[in-house]
Amino acid sequence: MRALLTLLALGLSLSAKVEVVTSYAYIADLVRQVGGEQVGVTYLAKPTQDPHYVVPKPSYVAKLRRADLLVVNGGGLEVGWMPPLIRQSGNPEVHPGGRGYVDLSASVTMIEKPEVLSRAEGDVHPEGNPHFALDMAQVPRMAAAVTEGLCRVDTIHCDTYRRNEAAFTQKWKDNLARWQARLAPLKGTEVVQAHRLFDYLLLQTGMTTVAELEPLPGVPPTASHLEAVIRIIQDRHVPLLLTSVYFPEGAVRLVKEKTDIRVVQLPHDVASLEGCDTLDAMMETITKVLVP
Amino acid sequence: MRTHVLFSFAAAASLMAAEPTEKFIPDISLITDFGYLHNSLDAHQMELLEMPGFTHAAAEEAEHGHDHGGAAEGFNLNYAELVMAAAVDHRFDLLTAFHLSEDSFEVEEAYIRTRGLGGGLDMKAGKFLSGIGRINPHHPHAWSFDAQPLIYNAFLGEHGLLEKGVQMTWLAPSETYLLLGVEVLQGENEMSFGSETFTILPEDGNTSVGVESGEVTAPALATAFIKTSVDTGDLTTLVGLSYLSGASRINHEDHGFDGTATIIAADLTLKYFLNSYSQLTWQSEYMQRRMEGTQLVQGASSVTQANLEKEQAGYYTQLVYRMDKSWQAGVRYDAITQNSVTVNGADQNKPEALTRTTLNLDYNPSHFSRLRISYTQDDSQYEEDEKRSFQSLSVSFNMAIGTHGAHSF
Repeated sequence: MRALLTLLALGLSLSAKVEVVTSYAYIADLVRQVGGEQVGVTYLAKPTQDPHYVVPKPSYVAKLRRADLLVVNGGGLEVGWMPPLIRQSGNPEVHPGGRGYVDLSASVTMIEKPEVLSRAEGDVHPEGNPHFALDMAQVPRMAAAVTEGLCRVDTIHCDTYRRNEAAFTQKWKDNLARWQARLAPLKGTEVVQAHRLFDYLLLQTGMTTVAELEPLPGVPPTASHLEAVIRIIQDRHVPLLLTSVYFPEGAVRLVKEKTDIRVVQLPHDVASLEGCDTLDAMMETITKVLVP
Repeated sequence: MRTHVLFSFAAAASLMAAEPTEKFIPDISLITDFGYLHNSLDAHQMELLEMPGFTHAAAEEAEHGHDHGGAAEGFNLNYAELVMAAAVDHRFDLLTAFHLSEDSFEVEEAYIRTRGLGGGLDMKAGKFLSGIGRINPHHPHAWSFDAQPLIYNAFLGEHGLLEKGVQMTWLAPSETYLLLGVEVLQGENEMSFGSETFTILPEDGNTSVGVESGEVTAPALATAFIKTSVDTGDLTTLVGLSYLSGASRINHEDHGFDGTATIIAADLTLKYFLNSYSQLTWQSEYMQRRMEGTQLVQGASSVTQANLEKEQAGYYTQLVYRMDKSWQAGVRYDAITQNSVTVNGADQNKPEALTRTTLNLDYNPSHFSRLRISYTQDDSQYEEDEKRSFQSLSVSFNMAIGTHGAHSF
């Protein structure tokens, strides 16, 4: 009888999918790449909206309740909405420190950690810039962190996850060389950003940000600040303005009208724009948009 | 020009709770609310106002030593709130909220909360805001309007249901959000529940004819609530039902009440998401209270006892439009719809059409600061048996510093 029950339990655990919840779509794609058919994955934040501004809906709490694993970006990006979801989930596994909690920021190197921490500087964050989703070079580290998390909650399929991760990483590294080669001509290009969303990408391509449309991080553009930005663009002949799908259009339009700067909407997350359904596809799109 | 953007990078969307914290310092935040208030009635007239069947005039309360000191004409330091919270260990979180006014320091909340017991269960123990209703669990600084809804003020008093006790919640493992909660609470609510025995003496102070309320063992209040929510495209719907039942011992020195009270509450919230920064929210709550017991009233040389029954109900409904990161506008309508009070079976003919309308405009320079302008048409107050309608205009500055955990839905 006991043997039968054990067998039954084993059978159930073999057939039952590991339920993974992620904060953002790009993390869900990582989980899909590593987890393959063994996992079911859902992401919470709508990819077309501001990743900082997510309302902690009760339906998200219900998702965390049933999750075996929660993978977050971390670095403070979810601080305005994830803590209350975890708190209400009734699921000890997905609390920070739990077996089913993975924070990707713990596995990547973050840039721009502020030396002075004051809200007079805007919506600054102590950990540094949390928008590392587009950090091509660090994606393999994130995949490794996801693999560790999956192995913790589903030891039976750990070998599969490691194989998937190895295959994904190999393919990614091959592509990385190609993407970097294609973006190489952009080295030294000065850009204006709506918000410091693309710093990791810019760092790797040797591009520099000379101004932002936001006067301070998270603070909506003001007329006087935009005038200053327009002057910088004119003085330095800045060729490129990078914005995202969710950034309010008014300020972008104003700057474009006054300066003829080339405006490029880049994806900040998987599924935020068309042709960005996976991390691979997103990087392809970015390289094609930046170097047509 | 370049340096000022050097350290300006993306960050948090709400008040920030840095986890892990450095050197185990808890998240500490201080919230202050300062304002200017103008009423169309003068201060003396305001003190005479009351909601018949619910509240007493401030002037009368002060006589009983119940001075609650609502906002006065002119400038007010409405409150300061100091919140400290952190994980105690891998099992518990501890949260404390100190409510400060110019001359008082109150431990508003101090409770432990489990970090998930498994199976969807969680527990709270200590002094906390009860999970009943839609806004009761939220601190006032998170509300869309400065003033409490009329029904909260009338049925639960200025702090809402804030009690010492234990709460257990269970989140169903369903795709649809379904939360069940039960609480066992001490029973210390000034408006509806109480467990302390008291004695009403006649005016001459003759203790031999004083009447003592029946004794009741605390904890004397139990609550239960259920909340469920569904998303339909960009619309989120949240529905809640709450039930409160307990002993009711209310001592107003020259009169008192000894009986039981039951409150049933229902709430409905519809939030429509327009974009990252803009939402339209329609929120309503309905509350119904039934009180039954003995009314004790001080006489010159004796204390009279009568059978008192109250059946009262009311609601508020509000529409709030969050336009963008900076601006929000709202309108709220409050009403008491039922106010049946009988003493020994005789209807006391208490007024029923108690209403109030509030208009709000908020400006948020950031997540941490808010300037709010509010206009109120108040038709809920009486002086003796006369309705005294009045208007108020208020401006408030709500500021938060430090690290403060993000708010739930």
